[in-house]
Amino acid sequence: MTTQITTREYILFAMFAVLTSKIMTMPHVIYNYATHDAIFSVLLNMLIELLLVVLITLLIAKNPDKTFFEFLSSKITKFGATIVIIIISLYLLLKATFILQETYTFFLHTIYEQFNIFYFFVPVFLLIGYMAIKGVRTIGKSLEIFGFFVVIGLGIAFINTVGLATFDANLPYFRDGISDVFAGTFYSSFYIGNSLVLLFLMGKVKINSKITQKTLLCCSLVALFVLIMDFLFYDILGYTVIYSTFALSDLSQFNPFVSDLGHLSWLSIIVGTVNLFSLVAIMLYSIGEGTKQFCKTNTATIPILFALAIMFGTCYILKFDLKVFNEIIIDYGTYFATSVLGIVTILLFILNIVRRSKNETVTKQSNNISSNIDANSVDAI
Amino acid sequence: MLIVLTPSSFTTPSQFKSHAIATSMALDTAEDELELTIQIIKPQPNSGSGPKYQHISSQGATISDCIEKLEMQLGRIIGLGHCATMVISDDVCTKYNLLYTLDDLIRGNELGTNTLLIHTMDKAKDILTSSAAEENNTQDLLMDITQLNQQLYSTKTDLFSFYNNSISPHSTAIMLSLDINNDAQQGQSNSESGAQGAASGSTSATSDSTSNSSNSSGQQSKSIKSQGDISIFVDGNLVDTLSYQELKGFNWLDSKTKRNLFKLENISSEELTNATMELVNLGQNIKLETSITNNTPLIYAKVDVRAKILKIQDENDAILTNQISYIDESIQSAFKELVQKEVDDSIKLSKEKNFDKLNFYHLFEKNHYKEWQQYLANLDDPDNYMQGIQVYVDAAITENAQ
Repeated sequence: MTTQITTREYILFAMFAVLTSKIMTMPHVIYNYATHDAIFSVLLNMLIELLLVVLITLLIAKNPDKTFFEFLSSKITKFGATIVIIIISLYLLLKATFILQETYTFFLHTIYEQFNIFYFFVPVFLLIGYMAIKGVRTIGKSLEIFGFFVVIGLGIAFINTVGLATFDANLPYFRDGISDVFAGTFYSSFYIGNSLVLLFLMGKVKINSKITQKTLLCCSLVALFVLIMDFLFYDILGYTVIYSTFALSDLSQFNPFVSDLGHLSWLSIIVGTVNLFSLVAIMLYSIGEGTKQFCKTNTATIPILFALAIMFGTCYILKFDLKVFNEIIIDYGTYFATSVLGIVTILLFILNIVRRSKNETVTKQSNNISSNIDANSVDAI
Repeated sequence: MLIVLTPSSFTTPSQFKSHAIATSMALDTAEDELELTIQIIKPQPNSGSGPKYQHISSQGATISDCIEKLEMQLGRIIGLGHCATMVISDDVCTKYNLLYTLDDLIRGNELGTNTLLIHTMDKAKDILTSSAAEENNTQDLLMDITQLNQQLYSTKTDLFSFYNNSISPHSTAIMLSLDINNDAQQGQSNSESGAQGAASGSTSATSDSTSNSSNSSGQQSKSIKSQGDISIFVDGNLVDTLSYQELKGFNWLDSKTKRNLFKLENISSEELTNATMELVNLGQNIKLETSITNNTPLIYAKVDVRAKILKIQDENDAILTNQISYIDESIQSAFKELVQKEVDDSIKLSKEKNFDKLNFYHLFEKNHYKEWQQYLANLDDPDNYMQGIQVYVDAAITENAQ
């Protein structure tokens, strides 16, 4: 019997995927290219993310008994499905590595002056490896608990900072046209596409009615929250965004009341950490699920362990330096991410349309057969 | 979180022994170098004997240089995360560009964004040490003074505001300016802090508010004086230090200003004959409308002030009750004239010194972007955009009986 998660847990998966990374380093990266219009790049990014969520959820809702690999194999042959799975898994592996490095740098930025890499990576790898190996139900149950803390933390972060906004710091918008908006979206494309992890939940979700509408509604609320927090970031920090790296933690320092208390910034640390770890665990699980058929094994343990080794190796080669990561992502990762997102989006569109067309053809044929039978019956009588 | 934080916490030595917590800093010049003085918390036994804070100084080419020498001197790493105030002497502001001087601190994320910057014509170290007695903490005192000024006169002078304003197009940042009151006081056991408003009008009477303190042994100490003076910086360079009087016009155009005193003189009406009226501003609503006509930027300011009458002195020494409202057309007219005059004086000063305290640049840029860019393009020097700006004020008072 296949392990299944509830619709609510699926929606939590989607919400975490939409939220993570969008209020950490992404706003700073976008600002480098879009400056005053950066918020519109964020808007575009969130719309792309929501589109992916909708397309994937539609696919999952209509194919509740098939995994993504099985579904793809029936549409574009096994070889084609293998290629797609490998590309998406590689993409998720790179994103997971980046998010891990982002988290390590976040700890250095907010908590520790020095942080031994082994004291970070060993416990983290144990944690996310365990979650990924235990499977989708463990992650789903964990998200139900984490979600509460994330909501509280983000709510407090919002309340702390909204009073400091002037709402006009970046006006007028589109002063130099709209090309900056697309540049901001293009160069931050590596930060979007987290929702591709949902593809690997296909066949593992107990489908309720209106799952697509509910998922879209909840993810839209998350997207709206991201938009608001990034707007506050750009509005409050103004031109000093260039000095800032992590939006969530840097924003929480601006309220003197919070600074005096000294400890409320920990909320942002907890929220950020929980978010990042959860998504890395989900990505690791997705990579395991996607690649386990190539290992000719029923469990994803070996692919997950292999992925962890690659992640650590990559971080080691890049010297655990977030700036080095960012440079590589801007130079190369952007093109790879844009290509993957573009191809996957088009593929999802086609799969959804082709599926509906086939169903309509079958329905018409069924109707014709039925009408023929009726006609023959009448004649017989 | 426990899984990640516990191993590192167990193996990290206690920072109490390896770090010194700096609560305030002072930056002076010494010959051709910078002199940095920090106030650090001095660990002491529970008996509480001895001073609570310690001041140490070092000289170097840059702030980082000074900090390195201080750390060697102390044998501890200096933690600036709790540093709430930084006093900078006029010598440093005159000789150095503060954007570059303070770059060490903001780029490396050493100081918090809420660290208050204070300018002084005297030695910055003296500001720091003047109130560092057993019962007092310089940091709290300076923060009280500066934050009160922020609330009353909208003079936001923290590190973040300084940087954000300096690197924005209008480039103008401000700092509160404090001085040492050289009339030393002895034996006072309380300390006061506060900024003040001054009566205005045709007379210029100012009052000082001073904060005095002494330690428990009664030693003579200097006191800090705040007169509401503000230092203006453009692109990180000090332009001038202006008095509260000179900047009053800007306060009328800022919606955050409140509790400033103002005086109307030679008022005559049905109830009053050649009267002098002192009022306090309880809050104001400002509406700024902008236009660029014939390549001239214009600002029309509608200022509505809620005010309370504190004092009325009538020529005939009439006994005046509080049962009627004295705010009539003559008062309104006098008030409007007063505000226009003070605004004109402040705008004239800003044109002479070429600074833009209220960020008119952004006001025109957001409302009339294309016309504003054309206006700037037509100027010989786009940085001198203040020269062409004209401000008209329509001010009115609403009496508040509170």
